[in-house]
Order: sequence, then C-alpha cells, then structure tokens
Amino acid sequence: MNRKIVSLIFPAVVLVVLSAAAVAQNAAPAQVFQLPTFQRVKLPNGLTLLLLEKHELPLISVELALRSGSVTDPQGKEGLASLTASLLRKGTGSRSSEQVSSDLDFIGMQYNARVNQDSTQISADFLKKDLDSAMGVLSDVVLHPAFPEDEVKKKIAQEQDSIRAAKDEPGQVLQLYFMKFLYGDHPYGRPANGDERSLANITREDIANFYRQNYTPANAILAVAGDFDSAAMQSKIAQIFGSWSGKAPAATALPTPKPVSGKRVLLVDKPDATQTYFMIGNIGISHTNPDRGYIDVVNTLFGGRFTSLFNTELRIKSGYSYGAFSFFNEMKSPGPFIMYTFTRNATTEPAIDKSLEVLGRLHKDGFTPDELASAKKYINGSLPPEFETTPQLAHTMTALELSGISREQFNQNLVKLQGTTEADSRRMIDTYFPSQDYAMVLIGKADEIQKIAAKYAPSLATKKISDPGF
Amino acid sequence: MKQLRASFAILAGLLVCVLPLAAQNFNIQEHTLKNGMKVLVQEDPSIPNVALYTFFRVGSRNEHEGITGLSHFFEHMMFNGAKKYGPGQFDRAMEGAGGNNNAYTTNDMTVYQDWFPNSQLELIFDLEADRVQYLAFDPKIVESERQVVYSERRLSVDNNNFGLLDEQLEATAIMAHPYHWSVIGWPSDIEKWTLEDLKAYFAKGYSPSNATMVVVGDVKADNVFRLAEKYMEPIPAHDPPPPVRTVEPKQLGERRIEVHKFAQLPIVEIGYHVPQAQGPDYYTLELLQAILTTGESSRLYRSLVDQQQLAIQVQSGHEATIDPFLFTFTIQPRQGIAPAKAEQALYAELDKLKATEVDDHELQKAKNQVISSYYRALRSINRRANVIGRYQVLFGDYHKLANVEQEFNKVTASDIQRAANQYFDVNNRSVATLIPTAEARDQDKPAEEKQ
Repeated sequence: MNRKIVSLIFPAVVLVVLSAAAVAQNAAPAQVFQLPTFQRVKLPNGLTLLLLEKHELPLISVELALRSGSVTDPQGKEGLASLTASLLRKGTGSRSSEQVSSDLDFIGMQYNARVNQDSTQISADFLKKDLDSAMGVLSDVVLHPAFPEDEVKKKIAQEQDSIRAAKDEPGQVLQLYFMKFLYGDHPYGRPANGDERSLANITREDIANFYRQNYTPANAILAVAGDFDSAAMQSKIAQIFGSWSGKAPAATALPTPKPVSGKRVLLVDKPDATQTYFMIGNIGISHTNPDRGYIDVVNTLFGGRFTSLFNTELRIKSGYSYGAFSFFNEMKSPGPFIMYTFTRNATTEPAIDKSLEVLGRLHKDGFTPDELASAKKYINGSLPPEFETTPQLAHTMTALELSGISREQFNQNLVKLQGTTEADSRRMIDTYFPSQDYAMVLIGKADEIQKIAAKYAPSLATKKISDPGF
Repeated sequence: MKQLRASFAILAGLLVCVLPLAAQNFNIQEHTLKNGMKVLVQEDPSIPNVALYTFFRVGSRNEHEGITGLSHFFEHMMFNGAKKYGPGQFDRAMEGAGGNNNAYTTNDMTVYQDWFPNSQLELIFDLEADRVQYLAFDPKIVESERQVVYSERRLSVDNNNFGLLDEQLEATAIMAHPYHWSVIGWPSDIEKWTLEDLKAYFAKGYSPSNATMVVVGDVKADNVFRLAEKYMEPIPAHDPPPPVRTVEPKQLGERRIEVHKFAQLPIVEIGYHVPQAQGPDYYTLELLQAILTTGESSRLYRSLVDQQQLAIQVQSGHEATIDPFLFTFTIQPRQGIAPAKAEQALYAELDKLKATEVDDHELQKAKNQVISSYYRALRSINRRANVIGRYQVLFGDYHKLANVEQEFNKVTASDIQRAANQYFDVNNRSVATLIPTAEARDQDKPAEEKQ
C-alpha cells in the first residue's frame, strides 16, 4: 500500500517533458538540468541513428521507433498497428515464436513493443557482452517477421479478452472512454489497441501490408544508449540494418481536433462500482507547442504534484479521494488536457463540484511568484532521475526525434520555463485551462449516480461497461 | 503524483547474466547512532540527486484484530504535521525545494522515501527528524485521512478484482498469523481506528532503534553521518514492538473459496505456504518462479497462454517476508474457459516439475533472468536505496547483497525438484476463484450511446 499512486495505467503515452522552445532568452544557469549530448547520424537507407554513450555499467538499451501509430489504422480495423507490433516476436523467417522467446529469455533480455496514436516503439535492454545475440534477435523480429496465421488468430483472441478484462478495472479503461468521447471521429478518438469488435476484422494480410508499408528505414529511428563506442556501434548498426530498404509511407492526414464547446457528459455504468472514477477535460496541446514549458509550470501547481491545488482540495482537505491529478498528453496533433480523480459513490457530487470549483479558482486567483518559483524548483529537481538510466535515455532520444525537437531546443526550453512570469502563468490559464467548456466521462454505478451525472450537461450520454468498444 | 512528470517512465532496465557488479557497487558506509538508528550510505555522484529512505521494522504483522491496516494508516499520518512543520508543510517544503516523496507499507515494514537535489540534504533531515520525534495528531485530519485510505482501499481492493481475490486468498490460507489480513486493513477497522490507537502505535513502532536509514546519491558519507547525529540522534530510543508470537500452524488439507462478483472474466488464485526470506529455499523459490512464469518461454506461459490458450495471463508471486508467507499463482482464464480447466492445466505443469529435473539450459536461463532482474533493481539511486534497506530489514544484513549471485548459482536442478515436491503439495494449497455473476455475460449486446 502506497501513500500515493505509483503507477497509473493509462493506455495513452504521456509525453510531458519534451518541450519545444522558441529561442531561449538567456544561457542556462549552471543549476538548470540539461540533457547530455548524443550523436545523430543518418544512414544511407534513411534510418536515423541516435547514439549516447554512458559507461558506468556494462549495459546497453535500444529503442527502435517508427513514425506510424494507431492513427494509421483503417476505420473499423482499430488495433492494426498494435497487433503488428505485438506479433513481431511471434515467429520470423528463421525462428519460431518459441525460439524467439527462448533466445531473448536466455540472455535475460527485456523486450517490449508498444504503440500509441503517433508512433510504434520497440525496446530492448541487455548486457554489453550479449550485444551480438541481442541485436541478432532484435533485428530478426524487426526485419523478418513471418506473422504465422495461427499466431495472428491467437493474438487477436487474447487481445479481445484482455480488453474485456481491463474493463473490470475502471482506472485501466477510463481514458479510452474519455478519448473517444472527447475526440469523436478524430483519429485520436479511436483506441490504439482496438476493441473487442475491431480486432475481429483484422486479417493476416492487413498485418503483412501494414508491416510492408510502415516498417521501413526511412520511417524509423534507432536510439542506442549505454556502454559502447559510438564509432564501433555505428558500423555494427550499419552492418545489421544497412540492407533494410523501403520508403517512408505517406503521412496519415491528421486534422486539428476541435475542442468541445459547451458541456458534454458520458456515464459508463459499472453496476458493481463502489467508487466513481471520472475525467474532466478538453483538447490540450501538441508536442511542439511553444508554451509547453510554461504550461508545465502551471500544471505542476494546478494538478501535477502532491501539493497541487487539485490534490489539496480533493484529497488533503476533503478526503474525497486517494488522489487527484491533471496532465497534458502532448501528441503530434493536440492531445488532451485531463483532470482525473475518483471518489466513493456517496461523494460523487461534491467531488465533481469541487473539481469544477478548483478550475474556476485557478482562473480567479492564478498563481503567485512564490508558487511559480516552487514549481520551477520542483521541476528542475525531478529532472535528473528521469534521465538517469539507459532505457530512459534511449526513449528520450526517440521521443525527441519523433517530435522534431533537437537536444538544444529541449534544453533551451528547460531554461525558458525557469523564466515563467506571473503574466505567462495568467496567459497559460486563460488559454489552456478552459473552465466553461469540457467533456466529462464517469465510470460508476448508474443506479446511484445517474441523476448526479445528468446535472453537468444539457444531456447525458450513457453506456454499459459490458458493451463492446469504448 | 510524481509520475505525472516522470513521463519518460521506463518499464525496465536490466543487467544480465553473471555480472561482477556486486563488488564495485556495494561500497556502503555504516554508522549506528547512539539511539540505535542505523545509517547506511552509498556515495554515487552520477546524478546531482539523493535518495533517502527510512525503513521502520513495523508493518501489518504487528497489528491485531480491531486495528488491522493501522500501520498503513499511520504511514499516511506521518505526512500530516509535526511540531516545526505543521499540517501540509512537510510536502510544501519538500516540493518547493525540488524534492519529492512517497511511502509504502508492507506486511513487515513501513518505508518513507525522499528524493531531492543534493543541496537540500539538511532540509530533508530537518523534516524527517521533526516528524519522527514530534508527530502531531489533529482529530480533524485523522477523519479526513481515514476517507483517503478508504478511497485507496476501494481503488486497490474493492474495485480491483485481483486485489479483492488476493485479500480473500490470504485470509483463507493464513488462519492464525497476522499475515491473515491485508496491509490496507478490513473496512470496519478503517472506519473505527481511534486517535488513541494511532498514538499507541507511534510509541510502539517508531523508535529510532527500530529504523534503518539508507542514503544513496551525490553525498559524502561523513556529511550524512554528521547530519544524522545532529538531527536524528537526539530522538530518544524506546522498546521496539513486541515480538510476533503466533506461528501459522501447518495446513492439513486443501482449502477452497469462491468470490461471486460482477466481472467480465474469472480469476483463479492459488497459494502454497513457503518459508520466510531468511529461511531455507528463498533463492530456490525465486528460480522456481522464473522457470514457471518469467518471460514467454516460461513453462506456464507456454502451456496455459500459448499452447493450450486457456488463459490471457498467468503470474506468480513470491515475496521476501519476515515470517513464512505464500507462493501464489494467478491465472486469468480466457473467456469461455472454465476456471477449473485452467487450474488443472497449471497443476499438470507443476507435476512435470516434480517428476523430472529441469535441464541445464533451462536452469541457466532462470538464473540469468533472476540475476539480471536483481541487478536491474540497482540501476538507479532510488531503487538501490530500496534494495539495500530491504536486505537490511528482511534478510537481516545488507552485506548479504554481495552474495546474491552466489546464492542463485548454488541452486541445483535437484534443489528445484525437491522444493517443487515439498511446497506445491495439495494439502499445502488454498484456491480462490472469482466467478463472474450472471449479469456480466451480456456483453454481446450492441453499444448504444444516447445523446
């Protein structure tokens, strides 16, 4: 039992820190955290290679990212990108699925493939001495997956059941319902891992086609962090991935999402719930928004840390909830701004009222220079442990490259946010924290909370948790 | 909270195979204060930050009926105001200095975690000493925090089928020993703890002599010891909590329970009694766990999830504990698969392990996995502070960390077979099944969204 929630399982990737910068006004004060240097190379076949040496431990972490995510999924086949990524390891031209598993388990390699709306990430983490066998398995699954028909069917059935199982725990699915409700027909409204029905529409041919079009060097970024010599690593990568070929796919059209105007509420009935889980929010910002650093400072104070305004009211002062937080998912197109908390059925109404009141108070009071200074220190103090280990660094490099943000811009932004003024804070609040327009999604026991939910919008949308989809 | 900013959250890093890290990494300096508090420091300047963890050897095993969950509730109260730093000031001071904190409670211990820039070391000592010496109990805050903890229970047990089933299984398998109840505590106790209970608990568990402080990061050990002497040493020692007398009697036959609840899918959890961290077979059981459930080449994944397609997932649990506890398996069956069928398939795999020794390759794979995961836990200053403290409290001596690899390497195929036979015995087994209630089965109806 923890004092605070340690891991919230949000399906969408939360990219918070990567902040685009306009031009930094001043040089970095010595104490502002700066990301270490790394090397960026473009191989002749178009593969972008990022290398960061770190020699304290004999470890190497690799992350291969593709600029294709779930928005590439055809309508009605949501989950295609995700299935493709998860099936890479299920058999290659030369290894069976079981052989792949045995090979990576034998060296204790950590392997992961995940997909969000904008990208696909395949990561590997291993000991320096196992470099050759680790890169052997990794390149085999990425370059030569076989997608055996029986493995495809098996994985689809498993994923369908995983979605059903996730619905037994509101915290696991609330954001999926929220994204659908907020974004509607926009590609970000569609579940990255598909749903019970869309997965059934996906065939092996869809997967093979998706792979052919999207798994190309011109569409890929390979980041390596750890204990190696950059020149040697570069030639090794060129040798392993040099013969990989293919053009980048045409970019998927991604319209700018339309913010909710007015108030919309969805209630998802979970008849056994003793607690109501809810999110309130609207369209937020993209990962290149120039205000991202300022927003980070303001959101830290609003709902991004334990002593935030939101958590203070919902947890510390009232005891309504174990935790209340707000965050911006920064995505290629503007991602959501979300306030999230949960409370027992009987305090659903005061907790929602208090959440909206806090949002109103943010606009009325804003933040003082002392509060801004506290947030800046908090952010700067939390940065070094976020970039401490090689998997963190490999992921950071691919995330920067995917966002089109250079290391210098990233570092400048960390300096820039340290200069957030009261006026900046006020502008952020006015621009990015709408209080009158929102989408609200609740998962809870409709018998007890339907009338309450209906109070917060002109009309109430409803679903049952057991209904397929989100 | 904090992970909202930790957006580059990482699932894992790791080290692999036989890695001679122990020697270079465990350069720990030790100092015991006059009041009995042990302070362990590992200097590591790789980032300009510090992890300071305080381990109190008091947890839910020190509770009794009527105050179950109090250790955890107390953990929450430790953030709610003392003498110099009043309500809310602990967190405000720490976050305003660029620091962050959390805490956790287990069956055996309560752990307070501070993470901060190295320039703030003295402030953190001031904050910690204030609350360990002068914790205050405001009745209004007690009532509010009671609701917070109940919300945490709803989150992790009442509205989480795995948490709920786990609580029921432990209460079934363990009849007499305090591991019978969950760390969060029974709802009726959460509702009724009193201020007096809290005060008595503070006096019982929070003596410096019952604590170990671990500091890892960009510090100088001499400086840490000096600050510990200044801030922590004046806190008077008193008697530690009384020993836990009750020993769980041997189980004499299988115990089975059911939980009927609205759900999409069933769950089966199986528990076998196994020895404590300092007892026999800790390392053997860790290897058994790897052989059975770590990675997609593990026996249970391969059989239940992949080949027979009976389950979405199968996991096992084995914790280092002060007293004997449980080795558990959790199976989430696929839709339409009878829980009993998945359960029998699991026993079939256990029977193979009992009948035939694992071969060298499989044993070596398991060793590579557990050793790599052990080193993975040493990769950041935060996780290293945690591991050092856990070894001191649960294994009795942090020096044992240096022998972890050796301990794993000593385990033979015949040890594995013997342990499987000894512990995975039907009479030593408890089984809890979550059975979805009827109204959960209407998921083929079309979704309707009324606007």
